[in-house]
Amino acid sequence: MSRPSGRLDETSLPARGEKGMHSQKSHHRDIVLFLSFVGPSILFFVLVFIVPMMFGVYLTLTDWNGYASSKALVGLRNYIDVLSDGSFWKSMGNTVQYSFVSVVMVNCLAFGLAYMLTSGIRGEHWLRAVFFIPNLIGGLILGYIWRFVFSRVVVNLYAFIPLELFKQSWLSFPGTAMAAMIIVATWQYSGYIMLVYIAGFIGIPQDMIEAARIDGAKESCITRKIRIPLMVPSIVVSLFLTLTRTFKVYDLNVSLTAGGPYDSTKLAAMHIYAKAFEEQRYGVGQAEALIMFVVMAVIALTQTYIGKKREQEV
Amino acid sequence: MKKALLVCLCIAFVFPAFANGTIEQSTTVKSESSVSSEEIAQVGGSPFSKTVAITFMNSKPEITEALQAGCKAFGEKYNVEIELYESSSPGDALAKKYASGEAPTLAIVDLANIRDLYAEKLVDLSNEPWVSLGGRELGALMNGKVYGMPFTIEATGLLYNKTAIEKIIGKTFVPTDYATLDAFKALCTELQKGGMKYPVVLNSEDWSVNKTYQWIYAYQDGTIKGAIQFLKAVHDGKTTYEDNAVFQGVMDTYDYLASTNINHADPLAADYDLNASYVAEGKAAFWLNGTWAWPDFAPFAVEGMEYGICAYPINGAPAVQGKAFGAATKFIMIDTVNSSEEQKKAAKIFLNWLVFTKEGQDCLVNQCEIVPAFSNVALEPTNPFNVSLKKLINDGLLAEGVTYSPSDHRSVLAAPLQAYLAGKNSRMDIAKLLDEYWTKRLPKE
Amino acid sequence: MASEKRNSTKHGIGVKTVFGCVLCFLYLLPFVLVLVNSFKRKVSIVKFPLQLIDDNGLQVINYANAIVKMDFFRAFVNSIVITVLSVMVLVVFSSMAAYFLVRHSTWKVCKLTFSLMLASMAVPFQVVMIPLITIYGGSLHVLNSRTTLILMNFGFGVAMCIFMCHGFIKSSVPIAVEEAAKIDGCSAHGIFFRIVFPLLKPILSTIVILESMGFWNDFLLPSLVLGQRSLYTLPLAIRTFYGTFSNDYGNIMAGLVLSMLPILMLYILLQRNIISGVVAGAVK
Repeated sequence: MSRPSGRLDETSLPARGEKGMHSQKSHHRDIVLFLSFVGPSILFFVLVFIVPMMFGVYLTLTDWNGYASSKALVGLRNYIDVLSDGSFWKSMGNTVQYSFVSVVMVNCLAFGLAYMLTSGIRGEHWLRAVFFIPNLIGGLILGYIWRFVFSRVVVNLYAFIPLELFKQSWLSFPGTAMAAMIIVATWQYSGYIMLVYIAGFIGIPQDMIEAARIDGAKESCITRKIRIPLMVPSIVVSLFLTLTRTFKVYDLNVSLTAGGPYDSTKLAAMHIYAKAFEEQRYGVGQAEALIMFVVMAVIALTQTYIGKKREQEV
Repeated sequence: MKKALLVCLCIAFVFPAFANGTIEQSTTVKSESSVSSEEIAQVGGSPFSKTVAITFMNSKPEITEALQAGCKAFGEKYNVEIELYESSSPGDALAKKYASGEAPTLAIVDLANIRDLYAEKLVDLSNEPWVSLGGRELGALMNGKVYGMPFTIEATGLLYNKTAIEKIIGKTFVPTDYATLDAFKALCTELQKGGMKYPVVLNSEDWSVNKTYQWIYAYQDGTIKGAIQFLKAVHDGKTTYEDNAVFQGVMDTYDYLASTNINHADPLAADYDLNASYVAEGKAAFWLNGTWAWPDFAPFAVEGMEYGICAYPINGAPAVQGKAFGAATKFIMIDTVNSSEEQKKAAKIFLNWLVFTKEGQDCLVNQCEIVPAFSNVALEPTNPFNVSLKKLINDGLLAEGVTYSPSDHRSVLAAPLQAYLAGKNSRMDIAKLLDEYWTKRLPKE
Repeated sequence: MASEKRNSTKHGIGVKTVFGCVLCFLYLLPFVLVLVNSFKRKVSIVKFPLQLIDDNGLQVINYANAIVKMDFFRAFVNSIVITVLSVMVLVVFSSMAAYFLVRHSTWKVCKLTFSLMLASMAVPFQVVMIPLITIYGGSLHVLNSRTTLILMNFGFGVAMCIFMCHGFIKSSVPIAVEEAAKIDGCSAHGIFFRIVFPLLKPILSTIVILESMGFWNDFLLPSLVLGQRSLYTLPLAIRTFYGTFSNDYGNIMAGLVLSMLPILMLYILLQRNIISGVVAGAVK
């Protein structure tokens, strides 16, 4: 039972013929409404984000080293340097790989968990708390704890499960080190995204489901035809969130693998940070960050656009 | 009703938020009688009549508590409030502080940081009284002027467990007897026969692996000038690493150390603290590290065991045999941009206090456990590594440290050597990488 | 027929429970490690990682150290003030904005705003980090204040909150009730606060939890804005135990456990609210 549109425009704008004083007044009122509802958000968004961002873009066009007071304009030289920096593109490739796999795993797991935890099984509350708990540890400590798990605890498993996999620390080989990063990301974000999906599941109007049940539809059919389409907004949000967060990962990278073994898991953010602050090539570092943003934005926004088109309104 | 409650709650929370943090300025007026005139002459200033508040950034978190106690003692005497805070990577911390206009008045930093900052941001310390006592030789010299007071001398070498070694070989361990690789190999074989299956411990961290390269530079002839000469020759294409006998010698030793590494099964999974425990408890004898490791080593140290530091064994380099290399590794800088004249003066007095007064020296040597760079400090070092280091200095067995690495040395070259440890690179690969790296860069002077 | 159904659901629930338990264990493992290690000395943590109790007994001194050296209570208050205020400001203003953007989504301004905010979420913080503190610290000198941090949290958080509310409002808030209220003469603000806002409970509770957690654990932005020790939040305070080459693990773990408790309690509290909010909403 969907309405033709979810907008109040038609009812708030005057009829065509009544322009003049009426339209001026309502135009004025619209501006006031806009400012009072959206104003504060836009104000601080611009102040805190847009303005520094523009300054940041300006800095990519200079040769600033992070300290000196001289910021000479050098045009696009930093960007050209980035194109020739092989290690940056390698780290970008690693990041894309890490991000994609993590996104898929996190969302599948979170969706499943949310579905399970809104279907009325026993101990639902506590289970939700349990799965959410990973989010309480953040930053560097998360990496240190998991590094401990992968290099000390896992090795002890060899005594119980004599697989080649458990003989050495997972962090000593590129393949397993990347797997370790993905596992930790899944562990950490699935609880977070699970909450988004739970909110989505709960937000599904129950009357529709009741009506369908009364009409005799099977549970799986209800899930396919009603639940999932109405979950699209949550899916869009979740995919976007996991994509952006895993792409930008830094703390976990530093504390879990430190980019090792031998730089095989050095992801983009870590590379950029080193370039800007350790190598004092701040302009190049910024340029790399911007390029990373563009790549991420293209992927994420495409995904969001496709998703939003499929969003149905109630 | 609910709304009113909400509003009240908001107000209750909002008030503290508007309280900006300010350093508690207890503006007490100090009487000058507590400081002797002799001391005033030494430190170059008397206690301030109004409290001066300065910030101090410490990039050596291990000494924070000791330093804090020292700052407090100084502060009470001279009416200076020093707020000490830590950072483990001074480079980016300083970049951020300068960007936000809140640079610390004093900061303990690395040489590379001073190199970046001196031109516009640091106070020239060339006329301070401690410069003639070692400040010039070991301080941070830029364009002939001193911009950083040398804070601590640290040496890189093989840390060893004297007691564990002597237990097996049955006689006194004299490190200089084993300065060549051949002699060292013989010693290790004896240790292995005596039950110490893997007598060597190697780290896996990138900063530690990076230090291995420094042996190649420092051992060219034991001096900074000699190393820079070599690096410039590589840059100009006149020589390569493959042809360099010191490179081959260092790598020969590294190969041997890796084969007797207690972590040989999984070298990149080595845990720094676990490594410390191996040597501390005598499971292994040698740790390729440096004297800075004492704070992390101490918890595992066993009562009654003796420890020390000795040279990296190498064949065919008689000029540097038996020498560890060391330098002042941390420097104290004074900021000139964000600090007032009073704050700068307070900072300078603090530095003089550290070097010239009994309490300052006690803070440096006994509490912070560092080896000071100044000839007037008579206090003997307290921890075993530093005692050993002092002996090396007195015996003339300390080669000049590596102060000329470009800032991207670690990010570019550490990973390939880690791969080498794991068996993925060959010596030729490393030589080629080094050639490539130094052809494009000049050593920093 | 009825008994068949019961059997199959019993089976289904059984499988679900087992699966849930296995997952639970995997999820809780690091926590157990943190908890266990918070009672051990660094020496035992390093040498005997899987040992449950230290040879010297439970090291409660780690907690004492954490409280004293971290200046725990002051950091705790700072964290609470900043988190609570940031979340409140964020929830109120971004839900208002999201509502307006959904209902007027044909307006060019609204489309532009939403797209900009969406794009901003892809930007890594490092791009704006130095410019941010150069402008607000170097030029305007408004750093070293909790208010500044709260407003910055707001500025950085609006994009995600608006994004999340946007989808929720579109799909779960029927316009029929609003239109009815409008006909009854309710003002735009009235419609929002009396009708729409209560309906947003599920998503707002979610946002409250997610953002609270984000702000509570945030290290980078507070480290840039709050320079003085007296303003440190808990993550900044825990940094005192980090050394250059190694860290003081026992104390770190103790500090971490102490820092986690408030958020955990908040979460458990809010969990019930989500359910009660839904139940209340369902009876509309």
